[in-house]
Amino acid sequence: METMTSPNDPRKHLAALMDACAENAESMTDEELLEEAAATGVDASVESSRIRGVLFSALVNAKKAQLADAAREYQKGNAVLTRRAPRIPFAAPERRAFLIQELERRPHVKDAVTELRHGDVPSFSDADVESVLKQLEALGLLADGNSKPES
Amino acid sequence: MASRTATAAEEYATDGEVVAAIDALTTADTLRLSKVAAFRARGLAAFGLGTSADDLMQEAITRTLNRTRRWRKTVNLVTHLTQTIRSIANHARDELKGGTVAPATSDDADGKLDGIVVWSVAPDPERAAAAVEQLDKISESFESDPEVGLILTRLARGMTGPEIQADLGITQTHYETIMTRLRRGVDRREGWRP
Repeated sequence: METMTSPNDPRKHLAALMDACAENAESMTDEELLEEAAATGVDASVESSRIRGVLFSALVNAKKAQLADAAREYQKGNAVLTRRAPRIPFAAPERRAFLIQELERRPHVKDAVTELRHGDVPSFSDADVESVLKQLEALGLLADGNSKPES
Repeated sequence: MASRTATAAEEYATDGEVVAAIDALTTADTLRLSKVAAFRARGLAAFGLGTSADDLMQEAITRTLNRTRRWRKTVNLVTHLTQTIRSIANHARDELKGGTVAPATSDDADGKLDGIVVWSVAPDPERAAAAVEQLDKISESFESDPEVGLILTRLARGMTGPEIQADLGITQTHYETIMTRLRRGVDRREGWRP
């Protein structure tokens, strides 16, 4: 039990008493609980099912909140994807030209890509080109029409 | 054989495991949880905090599921929930240290009673007078039990259980026996559920 800092406060005295009782209740045996419920006229099985209902209702509410959060996140993510998708050209030659153009705008990124892929864009396969574009897209490094080239 | 540290996923319960554990609670488990919550709620009521035992149990479940208080599976669920309830009650009282408590907000991380209406009453002479009256009545009901009187006096001085045992020179078992009489007396006065 925690030490009370101001024992002269009757509210703290009462709270300390109730806390001590709570700690005592924690160690009650099953038999004591059932006997005391019966002695006070409480139907243990009815009370137990009421408590279970209280717990499950909290559970349902918590799950609803989690689902609402997940739905919000999904909508946010979906909006971002919808906004970005059309920027990568469909045809392979245009995709390659687009990648070259994007890398020319960002020399540091070009150096990193060249180093990681061990070669220049002209030597990339179409699949490599698409993969690099998707990675740049995911990193937010593709031009959105407003972004400026690296100086 | 190489030893292996349990991962967080193995150590803490999933939502499904929490549901299954609630389902598996015995009648005595639910009564124990409810009784502990009732006494914690009475402790909060001393400060005018209008939080019921049901509110405390629900908040403990909410915090378990939203991972504010994760349930380590090696711990019994009732123990986890009673510890969480104690923590919630302590935080609620801490809020009163500075004076008035605002209604609870929706931020779980700050230890407030989210979603629970909390009334503030810190410097309230009426509340103090009500507490004195309640304490007097409890004391009166134990006039014929001097051992309980000794415990009540020491709780009023702010002593902890082990401090009381040391001060009175009694064993923990003896202390628990007296406390059981005290708890039952309070229960008789206050009713099964607040």
